[in-house]
Amino acid sequence: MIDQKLIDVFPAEHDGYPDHLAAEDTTDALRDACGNASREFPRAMWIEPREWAERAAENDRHGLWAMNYIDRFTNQHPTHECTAHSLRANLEAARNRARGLIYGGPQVGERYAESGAAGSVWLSPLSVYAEANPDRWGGANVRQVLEIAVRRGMLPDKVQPRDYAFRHSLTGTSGRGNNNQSGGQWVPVSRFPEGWQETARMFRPLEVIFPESYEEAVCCVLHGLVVSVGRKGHAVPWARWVADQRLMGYADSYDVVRYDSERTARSAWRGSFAIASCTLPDDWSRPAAG
Amino acid sequence: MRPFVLLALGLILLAGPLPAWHGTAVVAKTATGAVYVYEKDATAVPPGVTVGLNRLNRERQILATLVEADATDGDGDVPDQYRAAVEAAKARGLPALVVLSGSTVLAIVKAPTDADAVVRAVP
Repeated sequence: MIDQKLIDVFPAEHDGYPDHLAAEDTTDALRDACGNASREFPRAMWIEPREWAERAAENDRHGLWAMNYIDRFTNQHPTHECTAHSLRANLEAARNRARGLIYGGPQVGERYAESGAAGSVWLSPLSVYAEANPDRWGGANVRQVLEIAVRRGMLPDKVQPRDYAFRHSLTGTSGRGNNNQSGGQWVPVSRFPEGWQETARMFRPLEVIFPESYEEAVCCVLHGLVVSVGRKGHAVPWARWVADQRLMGYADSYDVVRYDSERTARSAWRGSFAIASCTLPDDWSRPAAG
Repeated sequence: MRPFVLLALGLILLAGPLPAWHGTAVVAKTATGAVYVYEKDATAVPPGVTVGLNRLNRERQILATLVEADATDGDGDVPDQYRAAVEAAKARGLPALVVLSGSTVLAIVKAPTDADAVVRAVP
């Protein structure tokens, strides 16, 4: 059983997704923001609810959840960058899913040796948030960060699982960070490294699905896609569904896995998105080579 | 001795290029990669395919990956590493698993669904 203290956690400091910004995150607004990258929920991905538990058991057995494609935590504390951290989990998972290597999920203080060998790239939420909210405090909505990522991409973090010799990189977060994420320094867009756009465009979502119901959101998660969602002041990346308790698990951007109850999830799926595909490298060992 | 060497070299050059078999052994191509190519609107990637690719990556040290048929690199082109696989898979019909040696297609398996089929496809 999941510890009750990890379910429906809404601490006061989770205020990077205030109500006035959340109100702008309608599915139509997100579709518009994504332009050509916008996609309908594919019918091929529909799984009847009576089959969810069986599929979840298979995912548990083989590690097929999106959580298994997230190979690190990030830590945004005490910033308001949550929508950008949720976005990075979504994009990194889409990329790692395409790479075809299953991890054990994010581990506090640990680093997978396979991450470097397989070409996993750790992206900088700050590289998006700094444009979404140049004032630093007050948060950003999903529409803003998604539009930015689709349009011009995300920069790699200064910390990587391997030395890829990126020409441009950025501090991962102006918050705490951790052993797998650089942190601490606020960097306005005007101080991004010169020519940064050349590297950022290599890390963009290409196809983004917008679930039209709670059930479609669950189907995305059952198929190994991250569903990014904002609710009650905080944005998170749903990446696992727990069948017996009907919980949505997510790698919270505070070095911890937490869960949303079905009640919370049913109130939050509107304005959610799942990255189905992203730009891929010409060579996994040289992720930003054009 | 030197004139004979020069004469021999001259004759070799006049004879033209060496036959293709010269100096080469016939070597069976070794698989270096396996790519499952799919179109997401038509196909949800079967769990068995994902499991099989992971096994190839971990147990066989093969670069085993998934690619959506319309995926591009940052420049909007089909990524170099996927060009041959995507072309071959589209010609055969999606989804398909393409086994490669470099950019040479060794085998194509149409619509595999279970892990063993994916692993067996790589010689």
